[in-house]
Amino acid sequence: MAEHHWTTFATEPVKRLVELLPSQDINSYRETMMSLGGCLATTIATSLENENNRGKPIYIACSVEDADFLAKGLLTSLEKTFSEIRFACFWNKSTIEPDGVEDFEFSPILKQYKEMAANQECILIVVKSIISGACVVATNINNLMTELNPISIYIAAPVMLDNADKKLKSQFPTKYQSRFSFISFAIDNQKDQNGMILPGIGGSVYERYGFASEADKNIYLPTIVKTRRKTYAQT
Amino acid sequence: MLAIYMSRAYIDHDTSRYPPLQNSDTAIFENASSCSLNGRQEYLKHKHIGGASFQKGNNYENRFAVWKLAELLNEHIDFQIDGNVEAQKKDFFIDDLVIDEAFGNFASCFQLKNRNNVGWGNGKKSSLSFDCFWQEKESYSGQIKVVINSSAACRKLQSTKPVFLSNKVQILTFPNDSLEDLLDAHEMKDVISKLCAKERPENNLIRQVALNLLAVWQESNGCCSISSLATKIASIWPSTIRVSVTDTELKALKETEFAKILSEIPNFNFDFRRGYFNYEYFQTKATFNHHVKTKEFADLQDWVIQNSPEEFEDKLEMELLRRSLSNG
Repeated sequence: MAEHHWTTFATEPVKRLVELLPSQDINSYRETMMSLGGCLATTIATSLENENNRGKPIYIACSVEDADFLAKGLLTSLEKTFSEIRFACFWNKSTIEPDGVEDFEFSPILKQYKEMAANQECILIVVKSIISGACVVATNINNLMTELNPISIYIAAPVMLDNADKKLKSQFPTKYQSRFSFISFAIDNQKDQNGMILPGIGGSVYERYGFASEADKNIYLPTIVKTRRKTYAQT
Repeated sequence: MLAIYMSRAYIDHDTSRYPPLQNSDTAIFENASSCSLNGRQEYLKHKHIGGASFQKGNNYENRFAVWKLAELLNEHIDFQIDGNVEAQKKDFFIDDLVIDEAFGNFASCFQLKNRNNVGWGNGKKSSLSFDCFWQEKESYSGQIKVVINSSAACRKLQSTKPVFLSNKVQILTFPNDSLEDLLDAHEMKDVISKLCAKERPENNLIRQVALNLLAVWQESNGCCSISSLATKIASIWPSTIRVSVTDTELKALKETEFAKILSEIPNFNFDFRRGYFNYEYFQTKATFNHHVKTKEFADLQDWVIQNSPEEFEDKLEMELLRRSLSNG
C-alpha cells in the first residue's frame, strides 16, 4: 500500500489534514483544501521572513479548480501579513502530448485572469493541489513571466510527485532555475495504471472538488475571481 | 603572396569561377576538385547509408530546424509560398537541412556542427571543404551555410575558410542551448512570436509553438512541406499559429452585426488580429480557439446575434469558453 513520504514542512496537524482527504465528501474536501492552503501560507511566510523578503510584493497564481479552495486559503492567510498581493487564475486544457512525446507536452491556456502587478520584481507563489507532470504549472509560470521578473518563485502544493521539481525547472531558461523553491507536505512516488498519484490527494482533484469533468471546471467562474474583478472594476 | 590558378587535378569544373588560391588552399582545392564523378556518386551513396540519419528528439539539429521552420511558416502565411524542408537530404553534399528553392532567399542547405574542433579539412572526401566545394557545383540555387555552435569556433572557421569558398559558403552561429534558453535570448523568439496566434504572445504560447514545431518535425521524420506543417500544428491545438487575414477581411469582421453587439457591452474589448477573436474584460483575457474562417466561429457569431448579450459575465463568458472547447 502506497504511503506518503512526509517532508520537514509537514507538522502533525498538517499530516492529519492530508490524510483526511481520501475519505471526505465534496464540501469537507473543499474545506480541508482551504485549510491546507493556509498551512502552505504559514510555511511560505516563514521562509520569506528567513530570506528577508517580507516587504516584497507578492503575486499568487493558481488553476481555476483550486481558486476558491486551496488558493483562497493561501491568499486569505497571506493577506494577514502581507499588504501588497496580486492574483492570477488560469483556465487550462489538460496536458497535450504531440506525437506522444512527453518532452513536447503543453497545457493550452483557455482563459486567464491576471491582476496588473505593481512591481515586476515580486515573489511569485504558484499554488496547486497536486503537482505531477508539472506541465500546467510550468505553462502558467511561463505566461506570468512575460510580464513579471520574480526574484523568487515558490511552488506550493500539499502533495508532489517525486522529481516533479526537476521536471518543472527544466522547462525554464537556465538563469531562472535557481529562483525556484518547492513547498510541499508530502512527496509521493507511486502512480496507478491511470497515472493517478498514490496516495496523492485522494483521487482526481476535479471530481473531488465536485466538478463533473475537465470541461465543467473550465467553464466555472470562481467566486474569488468574480469578487476581485468587481473590486477592480470599481477602482 | 603567391597566388596560383589551379589548372590541373580537377575534372569537370571551370577554374575561372574561383578566385586566386593562396598557398594553403592549393592542396585543399586540388584534393577536392580531383574527385571523379564516380567517386562522388559512391561517396554520396555511402554518406547517406552509413552517415547520420534523422535523429528524433529535442536535439541541436532539430532545435535549429525549428528556427528555420518558423521562418518558412511565416513566409507561407504571408505570401502563400510552399515547398519542402528535408533533413539528411539524399544526393546533397551539404545535407543536414535543405530548404526548397521555392523559398527564394530563404532557400539554403545547412551543415550543422555541434562541436568546437571544426575545421575545413584537407579537401578529401568527408571533409567540410570537400562537401562545400561539390555542393556549390550542384544545380541547387540555394545558399550553402555551415552552422556552428559557438562564436569563437565560427570566427576560427571564418578566418581559415579556403579562398575558393570565400563568397560561396556562409558560416553562422547557432548555440547549443536548451529550447528554453533559445526562446529567452535567441532571435528565434522573435520569429516564433510573429508566428503565434496572437499579437504580443506570452512566453507559454511561444514555447507551445516551438514544441509543436519540434513534434511535427519529428513526426515527419525530418521531411515535410511547410503547408502540411501548418495543418498538423492546427490539428494539435487550433489557436497556436496565426492564420492569414487581409485588411479587407478584418474590416468586414469589424462591421458585422456580431461585432456591433459585442462593442455595446461595457468594458468588453476585442479584436480579430492574426485571424483569431481575442477578447478582454477587466484583466480577463482569452482567445477563441477557432479562427475567424471556421464554422465554429460562424456559429459563435450566430449565437451572439440571436442572444444579443448585454454583459460579459456569466452567460457570454461561459458560452465563449464552451464553444472554444467544442470541435464543430
